[in-house]
Amino acid sequence: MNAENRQVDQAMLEDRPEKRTVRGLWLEEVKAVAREDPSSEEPWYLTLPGAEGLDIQLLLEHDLIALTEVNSIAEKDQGKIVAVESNNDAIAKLQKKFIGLRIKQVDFRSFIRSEGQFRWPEGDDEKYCRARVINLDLNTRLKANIDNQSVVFPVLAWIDKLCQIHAKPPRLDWTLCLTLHAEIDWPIDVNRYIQKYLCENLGREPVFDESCRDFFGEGLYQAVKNMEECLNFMELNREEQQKVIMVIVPKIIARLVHNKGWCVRTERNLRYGSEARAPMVTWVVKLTWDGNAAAVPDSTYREALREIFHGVGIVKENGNIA
Amino acid sequence: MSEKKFKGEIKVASRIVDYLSSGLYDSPAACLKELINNSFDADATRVDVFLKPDADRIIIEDNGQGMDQEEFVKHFSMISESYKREDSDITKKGRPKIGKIGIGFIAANEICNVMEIISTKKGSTDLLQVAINFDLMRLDPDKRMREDKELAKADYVGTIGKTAPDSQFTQVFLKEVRGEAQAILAHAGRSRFASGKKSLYGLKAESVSTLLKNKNLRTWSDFDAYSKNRLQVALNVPVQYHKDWLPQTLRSKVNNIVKNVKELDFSLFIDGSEIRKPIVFNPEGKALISKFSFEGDHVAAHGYFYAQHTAIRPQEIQGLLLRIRNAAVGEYDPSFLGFTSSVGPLFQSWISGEIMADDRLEEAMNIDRRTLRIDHPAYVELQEAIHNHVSSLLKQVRNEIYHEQSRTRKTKHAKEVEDRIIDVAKQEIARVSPESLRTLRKAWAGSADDQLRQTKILRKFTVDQLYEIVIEVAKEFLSPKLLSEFIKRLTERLRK
Repeated sequence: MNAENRQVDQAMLEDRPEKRTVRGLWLEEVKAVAREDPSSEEPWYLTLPGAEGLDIQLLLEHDLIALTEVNSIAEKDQGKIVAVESNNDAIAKLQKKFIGLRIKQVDFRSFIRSEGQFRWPEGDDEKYCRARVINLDLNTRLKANIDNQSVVFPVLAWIDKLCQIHAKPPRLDWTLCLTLHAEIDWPIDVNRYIQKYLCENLGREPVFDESCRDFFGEGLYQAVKNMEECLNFMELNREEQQKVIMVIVPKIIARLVHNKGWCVRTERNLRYGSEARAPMVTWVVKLTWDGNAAAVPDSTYREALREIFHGVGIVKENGNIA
Repeated sequence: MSEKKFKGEIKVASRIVDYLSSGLYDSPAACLKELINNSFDADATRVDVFLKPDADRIIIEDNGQGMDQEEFVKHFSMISESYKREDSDITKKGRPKIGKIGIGFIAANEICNVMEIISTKKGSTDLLQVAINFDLMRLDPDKRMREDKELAKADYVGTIGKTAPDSQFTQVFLKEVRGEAQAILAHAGRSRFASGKKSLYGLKAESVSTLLKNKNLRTWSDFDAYSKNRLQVALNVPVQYHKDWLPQTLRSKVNNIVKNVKELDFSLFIDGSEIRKPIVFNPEGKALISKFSFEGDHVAAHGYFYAQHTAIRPQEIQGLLLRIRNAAVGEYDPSFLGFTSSVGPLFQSWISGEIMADDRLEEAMNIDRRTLRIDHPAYVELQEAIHNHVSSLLKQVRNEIYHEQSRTRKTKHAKEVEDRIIDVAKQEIARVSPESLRTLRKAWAGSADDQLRQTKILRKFTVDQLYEIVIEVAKEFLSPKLLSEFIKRLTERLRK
């Protein structure tokens, strides 16, 4: 398929103010790495940039990456960014726009060797997976499937794997930038699972419960809590669907990684996309290694739940964050 | 008695392609230039090659006329037949086609396992996308056979997609680039090819030209493998000359050659850097251009020979480069097609030439496009013409460059000696006798400007000759006692 026909590239091409704001958040994360660990042996930034690579463009515009006389990426900085892209046409465009950019020609699932725990990236791929900022700008819905009587969210399983790769000595703190399409499209069994899961957690951590009530609104909150009736998330309005995704994604990330030594702090938890556009949600999640976290998983998890609402907001059509 | 007759069809397995092209190309550069020359034949005005940072995937993109399914199938079904020049041996733009038997694309199999071609033609919305798996092609057909006797995989798999009708391009993706080729092409940082040497990556043509002019650059191997590969490609393909490739005084003599290349309107960019012919001369002293033009029974050729005082650097551009249809045949030949002469070894490194031969020499060219059949009449005739030219050029070099340089050096030396004599005279003799100063001045002043007097002032004497001269003169004026003292002192000075 031509890059020009792909939804993700069309979305990029539009260069809307909301997306510009989101890219600005990503930029700040890379700037922080450049400031704090400029000589990092691991890449600063791993991204799925699409054919346009507007996020990479931003790094160049802010002089984070040195360029040569012919505006190609200087050899000394070629290790700082890694792009993952599978489409030939998009690769040709990217490579032409950012000469010297390291592009792994593969889809991200293959790059991370799927969501399973049996196969892992090796060699250079493993090194690239230890990037200090990883930007999964997916423009896809949060897919879920039931495997062996439990729900698996492939994207979130990748993040779990990325955490495990970063946990290899020397352990590295890292930042996840994740963007998903917020329209819910789960099988009915997944709906039941999510409702039960949310309900249990509301009872587990009072601050989380209170925050959820405020955030969801009374109607949705009560619908979630009413386990007598199966809540069909697909029937919620777009804003409610966005809110559900905003809550469950960082929550599941925290559940997956908290007992492996990772403290999860949701720095940004934003929804965007006006009525005419696709509803989107984007997160900036800081993952910090703490040797004690695995020893006290319950309090680490509760802390992570409280943090989910730390950076909640909306990116308005004009790009302002409210 | 009736003879039993039999007949059959000789089938050629696709792996023949591997056999055919194995070892044909001695470097990744040789494979790359084949693909770039294909773009030239497709009337592209611009080709972009992307190698960095890892060359694990190479992209070659051109804005040439593109290819549709029919042309692809025709081309790849008829490798080694003269399809490329079937209709005409010049392109629509009037360029002489470089490719002849269509093996250029297959050159890629030497450096990668998978080649993907994406192409479209102006006015068509069809987007050709084909993947050729060389690894499979190399397999024994027996191993690719299914139980139903069908081949397990095709040699290529293609689809026709859609694109805008106004676009026209060809993209070639070389994937799964083999380790050694990858290390050379990208100078990837974990092999012997990564040596911390200077790189041409990211430089503008002007900067490359400046580096090539550097007197300390002895050979292209002073650069990293990536850069050396780039220079090798640049030498072969029909790209333009650097703006300042020759001293300004000589450039006018080769205007037509530069103009011809310019008119081809072909640009190559590797990783964003414009590639020009890596032929840059930067003489310290005198240099000359000798034009070459030959019309024979079997071949015609024209070109130039450049000569300078002292060896040309880098050494890769010493010798003679032959071009047929604007593409080089191999590299510079330092032997000038086997020229032998007693003065050869000294002066041949002072000379660099480029000769553009007509199509008749192409018949003498071997399939590797690097070598020529030395018994082919066109080669033999051109060789003789070149040897005659080199022979007379060597005489010209001796007279105009070597002797003249030698004369210049002598004059300079004579002037220095003359000045020293006057200096000594002023400091030592003038105090004793102003008359003596006048005598010395009269005897030696102006010696540098007169060839005969130059010879005299630069004469060298051995110690015995010096004793003979000095003692003979001294004994005319000095008493035996003083003479004895004089000889003692003189001996002490000479033995210091």
